[in-house]
Amino acid sequence: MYWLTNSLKNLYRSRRRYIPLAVMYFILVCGAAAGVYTFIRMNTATEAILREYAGVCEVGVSKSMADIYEETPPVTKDQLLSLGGSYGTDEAKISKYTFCTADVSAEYKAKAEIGADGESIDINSPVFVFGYEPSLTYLYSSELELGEGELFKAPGECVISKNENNTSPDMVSWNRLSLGDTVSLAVGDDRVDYKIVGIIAENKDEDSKTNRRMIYTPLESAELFDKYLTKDLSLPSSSTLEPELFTPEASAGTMINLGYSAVAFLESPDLLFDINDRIIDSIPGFNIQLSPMHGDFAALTKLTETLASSSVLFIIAFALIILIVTLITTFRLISERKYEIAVLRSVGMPKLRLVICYLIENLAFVWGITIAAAAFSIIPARPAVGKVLDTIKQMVAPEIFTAISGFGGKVWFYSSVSVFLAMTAAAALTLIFTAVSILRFRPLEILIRRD
Amino acid sequence: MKLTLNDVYYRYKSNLPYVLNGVSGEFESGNLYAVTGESGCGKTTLMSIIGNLDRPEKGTISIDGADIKTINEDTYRSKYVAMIFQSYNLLYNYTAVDNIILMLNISGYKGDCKERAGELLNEVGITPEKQRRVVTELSGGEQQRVAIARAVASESKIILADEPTGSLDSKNSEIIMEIFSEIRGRYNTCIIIVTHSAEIASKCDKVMRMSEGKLSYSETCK
Repeated sequence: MYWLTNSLKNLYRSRRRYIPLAVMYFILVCGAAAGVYTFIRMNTATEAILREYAGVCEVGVSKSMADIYEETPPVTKDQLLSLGGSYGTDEAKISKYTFCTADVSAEYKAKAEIGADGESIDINSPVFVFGYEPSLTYLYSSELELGEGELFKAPGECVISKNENNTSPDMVSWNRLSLGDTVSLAVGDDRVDYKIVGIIAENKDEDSKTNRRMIYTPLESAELFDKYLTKDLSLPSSSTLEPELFTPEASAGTMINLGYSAVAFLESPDLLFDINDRIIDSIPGFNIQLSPMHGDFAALTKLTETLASSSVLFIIAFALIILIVTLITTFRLISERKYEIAVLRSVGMPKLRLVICYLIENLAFVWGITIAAAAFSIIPARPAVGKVLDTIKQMVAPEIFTAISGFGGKVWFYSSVSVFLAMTAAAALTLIFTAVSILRFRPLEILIRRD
Repeated sequence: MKLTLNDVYYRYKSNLPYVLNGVSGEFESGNLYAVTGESGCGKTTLMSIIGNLDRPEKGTISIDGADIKTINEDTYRSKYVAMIFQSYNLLYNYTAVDNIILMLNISGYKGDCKERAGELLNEVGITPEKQRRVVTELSGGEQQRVAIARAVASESKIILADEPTGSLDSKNSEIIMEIFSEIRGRYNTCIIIVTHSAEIASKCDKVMRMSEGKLSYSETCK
């Protein structure tokens, strides 16, 4: 016990020697630890968000939306079935996607009743109806950025999108719709009424100019059109799909498309890109839309990759700093305290005990500063983390971000492991260096002034 | 206890002449020895060889008939022989009492080290207030007294003192010699002092002279 406390006391006794080094080391470790903290924290958050994205990424396969708007079917039914076949057979087995195409060749007609006086307008162009599973609504809320009203809650309620910039006759009529109005859709022999409870903010993107007649409603309300899907889909390969692949998410993503298009919902973002490449090869002339349901998936992926590689660099830098400073401290400790070592050897201090004492002193210094600096580094790291998290927040739906932002357990795990490994390596090298230095040490020349 | 040097040879490098050129001699407990000689005659080298800071090239050094080569180096330095240097060689960032406590721990003292350190420092005239000072805040004479207390703390039967009064004035030199004399009597210690000073040598029980690497009894021996 005496030797332990004496070694620690030596830190205080040699404080003038240690303080400048401690300050330098503290700053270095603080910077490195802040970097590690920030990057790992960010990386963990984005990775978790990407995992959440799995299953809700969408790939749309269609001719351009302009073609749909012009009501010139871009593909024949046979072609679309062929596309469905492509999904349903080859790709389905490989990619495990959960739902594929929809082709409703029925006549369509949207009739909107406006106001209490029952004024009616006819919309003679495609209207897209999206049915959402209520429990998954949060996943879609980034798209449903409401300008007025609220999100639909009950069957028969809907949110519509408008675009004042679009001057086509149908769109001008559509833009007259407001909260409380009713939109009636007729498909085949069926008619469905939707009460408007929310209106989506306008001009979100360029594409909205041609694609604003959209109705978002609970899945239950949209499912009324399912029979058209099942009737007309006629996927020759659907029987080959595994039943369990039809997950609730798949149902939630069922797109009732009163135009011509195909949509697939995938379980894995990675598979999404894989399928995309294959479709491009197999169906020339199709417009492939990669549409992650929320935020900029590609940017987030890139950010994650950057953060991951940066984290590794910072961890390596962190470890190197610990190693280098430990060795410098040890070297200084041995070289500047040769006299002290000589004295201790001359009075019979065993070499091994001397090695242990200097090792304790050195490691107490290095580890003490490291732990203190690592803990302190959170202070400068927090605003940096906050800034990057804000960036990520803009890329994803707020609900996802909130769910993910508390996910930080791995940060401390990785940080602890990296610090532990660096310290262990530093301890091992220090032990070797200290032992070799002291074991080879001869006190005679230092202590004896020969006459 | 008897320390015996038998035909000891030593040189710093193989291409240099011998500094110790067949040194023989005997040192016994309860005596205060002075080793004198001209500068460069090998007095300090003799001390360092006896103190086992290095090994002789030829010859033997034995304690009560046991060759010191057979004794563990650290045990020998901490329990058989204690060294006092002209430049004190204390741990300068330690307090006086901490220097003594360290030595007591090295030599395996079983009692209360702090209390014993205080006693030893009191014996050499270091007051309790000064005992708590870092040694660099003490005078040269006081530092040398701390060094003596450290040597006594090891309970070694042989104390080697290399020019212990070389850096001190005559008053402090006198005090140091009185302490040596008292220690020799109280602990029955063999104290060997290397000195240039005839006055210091005159206060010793026996005076030996180093010349051309050999040791001989001086005619001035008491």
